[in-house]
Formats: sequence, C-alpha cells, structure tokens
Amino acid sequence: MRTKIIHVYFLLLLLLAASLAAGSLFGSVAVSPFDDSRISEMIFWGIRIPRVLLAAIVGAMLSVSGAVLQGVLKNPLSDPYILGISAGGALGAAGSIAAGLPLFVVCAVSFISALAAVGMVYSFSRTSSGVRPEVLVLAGVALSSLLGAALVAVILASDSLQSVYFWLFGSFSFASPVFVKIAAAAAAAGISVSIFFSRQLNILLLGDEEAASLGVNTSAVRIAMLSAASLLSAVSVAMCGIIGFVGLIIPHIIRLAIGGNNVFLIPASGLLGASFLVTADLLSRTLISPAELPVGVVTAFIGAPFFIYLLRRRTDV
Amino acid sequence: MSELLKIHGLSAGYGQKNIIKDICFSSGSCGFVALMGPNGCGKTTLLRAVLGLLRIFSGNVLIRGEDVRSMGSKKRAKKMSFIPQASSPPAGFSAEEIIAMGRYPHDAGHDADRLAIENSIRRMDLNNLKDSDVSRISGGEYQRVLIARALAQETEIMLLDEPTAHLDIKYRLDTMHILKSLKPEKLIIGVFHDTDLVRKYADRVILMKSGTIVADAPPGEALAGNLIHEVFGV
Repeated sequence: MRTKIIHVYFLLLLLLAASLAAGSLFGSVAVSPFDDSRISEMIFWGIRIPRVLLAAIVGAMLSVSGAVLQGVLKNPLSDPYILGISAGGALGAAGSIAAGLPLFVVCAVSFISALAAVGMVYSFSRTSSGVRPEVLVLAGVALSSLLGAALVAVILASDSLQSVYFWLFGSFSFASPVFVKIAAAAAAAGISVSIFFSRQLNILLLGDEEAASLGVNTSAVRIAMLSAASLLSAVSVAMCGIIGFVGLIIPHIIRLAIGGNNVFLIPASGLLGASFLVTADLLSRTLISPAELPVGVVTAFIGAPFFIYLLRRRTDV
Repeated sequence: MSELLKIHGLSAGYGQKNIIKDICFSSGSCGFVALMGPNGCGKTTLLRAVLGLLRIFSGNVLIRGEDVRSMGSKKRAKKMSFIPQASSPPAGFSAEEIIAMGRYPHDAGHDADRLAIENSIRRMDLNNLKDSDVSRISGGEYQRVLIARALAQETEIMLLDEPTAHLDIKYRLDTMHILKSLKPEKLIIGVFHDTDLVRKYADRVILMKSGTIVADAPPGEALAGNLIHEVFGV
C-alpha cells in the first residue's frame, strides 16, 4: 500500500510538470522563453506564466476544498460548486468589485459570503439524527441557483464588472502576478490547515461520538475544515469566477487510486487538481482559438456527466 | 493509588431531560461488567455520561480520583476506549488504518505507535485482514477491528455498547471470549441483552430500570428469576 501511494505521488508530480510545461509552451500565440523578441518575452512572462500558475493554484485550491467538504459532510457528492459555496463567494466578490473595493477586501468579502453559504446549506440539512446527504445536495443546488441569479443581477446592474460569462463559467484571462501572489498565500493557508487536520478528519468519518471517544475535538475540526474549504473556494472564485466540478471529480479519482485516507488524499487531490485545471485552461484557450472558451465550460463538460455517474452509483448501492 | 473508576450520585441526560438518576458505581479490582436492562432504561446514556459525551447534571465520574469533566478530550481518550453500537465503517480505509486511529490521543512517536498497532493486530488475529477495505468485510470482522483499535488505544477502561447485537452466534461467542481474556488488565463495561452469554462470561451484572440501578451483583444473583421478572416484566 505504501509503495503504491509513493508511485501515485510520483506519477502526479510528473503529470503536474508535464501540464505546466504544456500550458506554458502552447497557446493561441506561439511564444517561448527562448524567443528574442520583446513582445514574445512580455507575453510569455507577463501573461502566459501568471495564467498557468494561477490555473495550477486554483485547481489545487478547488480540489482540496472538495476533498475536505466530502470528508467533513461525509458526502461524496459534496463540492464547493454543488453546495453553493462558489456562488456565495462569487456574489460577495462581484458585489465588492462593483463597489470599487480593493482586491484584498474583495477576497475577504468573498470568504465571508462563502462561509455564510456553507453555514446555511449545512443548517438546512441538519436534523436531530445528523446531516441528511440528499437534503444537503438539494439545498446546495437551490441556494446555488438563487445566489447565481442574484449574481447575474449584480453584474448587469454594474458598469465595472466583466461579462456574465467570466463569473458563471470562470476564466483565467485576467491573471496577473498580483493575482498569483494572493492566490498562493490563500492556498498555502487553506491547504496547510486542511493537511494539519487530515488525521482528525479521518476519525471524524466514524461519527461524532466515536471520534470524541478517540480524543478528537469534533466541533473544532469541523469549524477549522469548513473555514479552510470556504477560504480556498472563495479566493478562487474572487479571482477566476465559478469553475464547477473540479472539487468533485478530482478527489474521487484519487480515492479510486489510493483509498479514502485524507492524510494522503488531500495533498494528492491538490496535485491532480493543479494539473487538471492547467490542462482545462490550455484547452479553453486553444480549442476555438483565437477566441476563448470559459474554462468552466470545459470542466462542466467533464464534470457534469461524472456527477450523474456518481449519483447513479450511489442509488445502486 | 485510588480506584480505577468511581461514579458518585451521577445524573445526566439530554437537553433538560434527566435520563439516569443517582448512579453509583465502584470498579473494585478489574473485571468484566455487564450492563443490562430493558430498552430505554439508560444504559447507553450511562456509558455516554462516563465518556464525557453528555452534560452531567449532578454527581461525578472519577478515574483514579480525577474528574472526567476536568480532563481534555485526548487525556480522556487515553483512559477510556469506546466501541459504539452499530458503528458504520467508512469506505476506502484499511483495517490497519482504522486500528491506527486508536493511537490518535497518544503523542507517543512512530515506534511506540507501530508496536501498539502490531500487537493489537496480532492479538485479535487480524493479520490477513489488515489491508482489507473495512467497508467490504463482515460485521463480525469489523467488530474485531474495533476491539483491536480499542486495544491500540491502550486504556485501562473499555466501554462497549451492545458489541454482540448484530453478530451471529459464532462471532458473539468469539467476542465474549476475547473480552473475557482482556479482563486481567482492563475494566470492561459492556451493554448486553443475552442473559446466557452474560451468565457464562461476565463477573458482575448491573441491572438498570428507568434510569436507576436496581441490582449490582454477580450474574448468578442478579439474573435470578424474580429480579429479571421485576426489571424486564417477563
């Protein structure tokens, strides 16, 4: 088992290196770091590289967020997009951008509204006998539609916001070195909290009483993990709009490969998520080049069928 | 050294509702204690209160003289292990990973953890199951994994809520046999319904009715006809 996990991690690192290389070298304009021309150099270092890095960081953030949510809510159908956390974050972000607030504040407001969304969905689905998985997903979908509608209204009422596309389907076209720095800081914070509590999260899967009897402070773990997951998805959304299904698909693939132990699952999800979104972004900017597909369109084409497959598999059990 | 487990006038329940009243218990020298009584009499509530999972209204639970309420959750988990009723195994975890969870409260370092995990795997005869996904093994096998986890937890007290409830007769006997073999080193308190098994394996029976203890005696005495009639109404 241990050797298998090492092999999978090695493979994931190779995959990440390959996707980063492909994402940097290919695009609608042929540029490379070895070109002499000034414009080519500017495109490569000023636009292409920040964009590829941002895609990698956001991929890792969304995937870790999904893995953590699936663990905390004990529901394999959880993901920041399905639970309405992304829509909550997007509404907060769009509102504060329309109000002309600085980027850092935009991220903070996005985080708070994402937390509010997860709190709402969680309390809707909580009954005396625990959280009901079906209600959790349905409440998330309902909240998502409501917040998505509010988001469209905010975007249309404002002159300063970019297109509806950007927010509802995500894009890395606004990537800049500042974005990369802020995303990296949020990713470092959120992912380290997630890894730190991953062992406790495993024990929490046994149920609250059993976990408490093993010495785990269940509410502290739950609050820390839900906050980390909200931070990761909120900052992603504030910079790149709503990119769906990444947090759903990636942890499932990892689980098939190495099992459910969150100590290995969470970092591995981050690695695969980074490769996945770099590749999805590469597709989004090359498929109909010189025009660009929103990256969320690419992930939805892959993710939505996968979600239906999971739903069907669950009812078969 | 003060007594392993002592319960003084314990009342506890859910919300404002008092379920168990004025429970007193002294562990004496270690042994295998069976907690019995009709459904709803407060057996599980008593276990929860001892574990510190419930609000205690009055009285206290002392382990070696120390109140469980003043202990942190990790410290408590080093004193008492718990096997709940109908625990559902999480998918995608190996038996060994579940057993290793028993080491969480100990900050003992990798070698001590390994040793405790390997010992309990050997003791529960789980070597051929240790890499199996626990969501794919039988209920009886998972029960053995849980006992192994409780062993790896290295506690002096082990609490079990109906550990034999969903098992067939072979696994029931196995489980009782294992628990009995642990008693020289541990205090085992378990909720049971099967009077025949309790007669055969337990050292002491605590009979509860409507939240209070009505008998605390060796099985032969506590399970005599008239008491059983009074408590269970049969």
